Amino acid sequence: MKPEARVSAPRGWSPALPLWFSLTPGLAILAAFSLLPLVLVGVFTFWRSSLAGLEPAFTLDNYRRFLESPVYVRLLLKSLRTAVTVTSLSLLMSYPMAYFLARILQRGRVIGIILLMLPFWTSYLVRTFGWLPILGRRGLLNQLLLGLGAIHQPLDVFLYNEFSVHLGLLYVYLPFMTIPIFLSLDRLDQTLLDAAADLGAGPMTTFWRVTVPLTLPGILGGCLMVFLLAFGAYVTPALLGGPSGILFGNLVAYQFGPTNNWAFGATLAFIMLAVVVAVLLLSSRWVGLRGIFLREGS
Amino acid sequence: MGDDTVLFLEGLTKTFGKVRAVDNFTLQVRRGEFLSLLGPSGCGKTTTLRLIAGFEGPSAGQIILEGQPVAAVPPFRRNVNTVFQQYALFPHLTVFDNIAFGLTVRRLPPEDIPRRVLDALHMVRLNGYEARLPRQLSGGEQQRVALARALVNDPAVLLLDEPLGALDLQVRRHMQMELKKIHREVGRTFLYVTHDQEEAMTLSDRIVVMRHGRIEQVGPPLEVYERPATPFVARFVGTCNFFEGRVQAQDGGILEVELPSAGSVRVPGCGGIRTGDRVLVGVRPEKTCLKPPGQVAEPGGNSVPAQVEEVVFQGTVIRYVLRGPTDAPLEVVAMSTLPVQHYDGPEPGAKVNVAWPLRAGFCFPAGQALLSENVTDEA
Repeated sequence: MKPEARVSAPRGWSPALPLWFSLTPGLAILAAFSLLPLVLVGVFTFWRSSLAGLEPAFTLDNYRRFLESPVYVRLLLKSLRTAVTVTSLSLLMSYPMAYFLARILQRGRVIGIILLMLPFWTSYLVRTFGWLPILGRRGLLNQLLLGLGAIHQPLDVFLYNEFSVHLGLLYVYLPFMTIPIFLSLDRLDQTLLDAAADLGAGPMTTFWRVTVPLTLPGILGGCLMVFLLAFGAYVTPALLGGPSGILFGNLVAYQFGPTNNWAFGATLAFIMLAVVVAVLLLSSRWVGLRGIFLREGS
Repeated sequence: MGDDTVLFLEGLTKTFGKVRAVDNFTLQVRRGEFLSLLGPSGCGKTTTLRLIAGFEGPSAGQIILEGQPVAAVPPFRRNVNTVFQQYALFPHLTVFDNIAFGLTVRRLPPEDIPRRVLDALHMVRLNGYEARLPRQLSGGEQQRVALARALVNDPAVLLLDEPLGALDLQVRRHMQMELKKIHREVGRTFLYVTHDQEEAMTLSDRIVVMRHGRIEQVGPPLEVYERPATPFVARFVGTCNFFEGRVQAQDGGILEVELPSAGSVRVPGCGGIRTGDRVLVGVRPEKTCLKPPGQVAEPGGNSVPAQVEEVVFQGTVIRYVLRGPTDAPLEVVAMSTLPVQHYDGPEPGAKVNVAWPLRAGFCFPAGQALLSENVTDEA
């Protein structure tokens, strides 16, 4: 007997609400908060900005401006490179940490997870500002090195450059990597690891051939999150980046703020979105998006 | 230890906190035999299997596999393979890659692997399934893949942990026959864990009945069934009626046992019993029959008065539930020889005699018995 055959309600009566009823709220929210803004941004990219604000038009000037000046493309590539670096470092740090929490720690797992989440309970800004008294000219790090006699002059290399931007991004987005990996490791069936050992696989072989493939959805999910967040970041580079550390996100913010060129800002944002979609499509070739965003039935 | 011993467990003990899951367990497993560990859940049978596989380390005792002590050897260097209860197939690998897993991690010559995998698939009758993923298979098919994945490595002992437990009855019966056939074909040693006495009887060359981490009895299925070593075995393997009484006389190995308010019965003796000792007389329901009051089954046979409480028609057999002389429940099973509408046997309320031939009974010293202990609760 097929499973469907067992679930048979009396004729003419169904426990489910009518389809239109259950779909409407979801569709309305999606339309109002996701689709509409997107369409507006898309439309703005063809408009013109003036002192008076946005003017409806149909022009490709905004796209031309982007392509004509190498500064924008260079900054886009820099953002991409930064996001990739931060994502890779984050993965390298998160996997061992998540592995320890999920599969080695016997007691105090809850405490470990709370410690992991704790930074989320303070503001992003506070967490970012927190680096200033550590990395600054009179900061903790310089004081420490001076005290140890390793240096004789305070160093300026720690703050307001690409290094501090990377560090700041890595720090604020680390949990977005650790938590999905933790979850996928946590639901990894111990029997499968036993089975691998039973079939002659040592700990390293088991790790690469069973643990990693089975936690791949968590890994890719974490990578995607950190990549997207780091790629679009503008607060961290604005606070810790200085003139050399700014990223594409700051450029976008600048158009909506001081420059007041919403049309060009929308264009830059739209180009950014296109890059993100391209990354998503590329990664979906590698592993199904379902595997990243939904728990696959096994 | 003879040459035909493939696995020798000596004084094997495993404690978890204060619980002795496996307690001073000594057993010789013969090369090529199908041996079952049978017992209620919590009797330590699965722990024993995990100790042999290496997933647990023993608290005391020795595990000798093919002449080598392996208690300190990690599971991936032991020449045993396990078929897990929930199959434990790798969900990200195809059937082919699942079966090839053990061969590739052991670095066999790559040109040999496809042939061996296909042979293993053929053995479990899953030709053509190699490209499928585990989630595309039924439970029975997954079980076959698990079996192939383990056997393809030619283990000295194949460990099976209630492998049919998750299957429904029909598939289960079918797989039992398949398992038996595969065991004959490959000639490997199978060590099988189950709580299902019928399954153990069907499959095994020998059965080890376990309870509280200890061995109650080891022997061929029929010996365990017909000559149970303890009241627990008598009850766990099949069902059993018990009568408690006192030995009045002994005559050529036959005990005359006086039952309270039910006269006396005669039973083949067991070791170390003296006149005056209290004993438990056991007889299996299918070896008894109902007679009108005062009649016995055969000359020199036994009979005990009882009252019918329930008559249950179970298709092939009729099961009578009765109240015995000491109000203890009794059970009699008879073949259903007439269509139910022509049934002419005793009805509920009827006074009858439960009768059985002398040789059908067995006895135990009464001190050994804890009749109040309900084995079905433990299971």
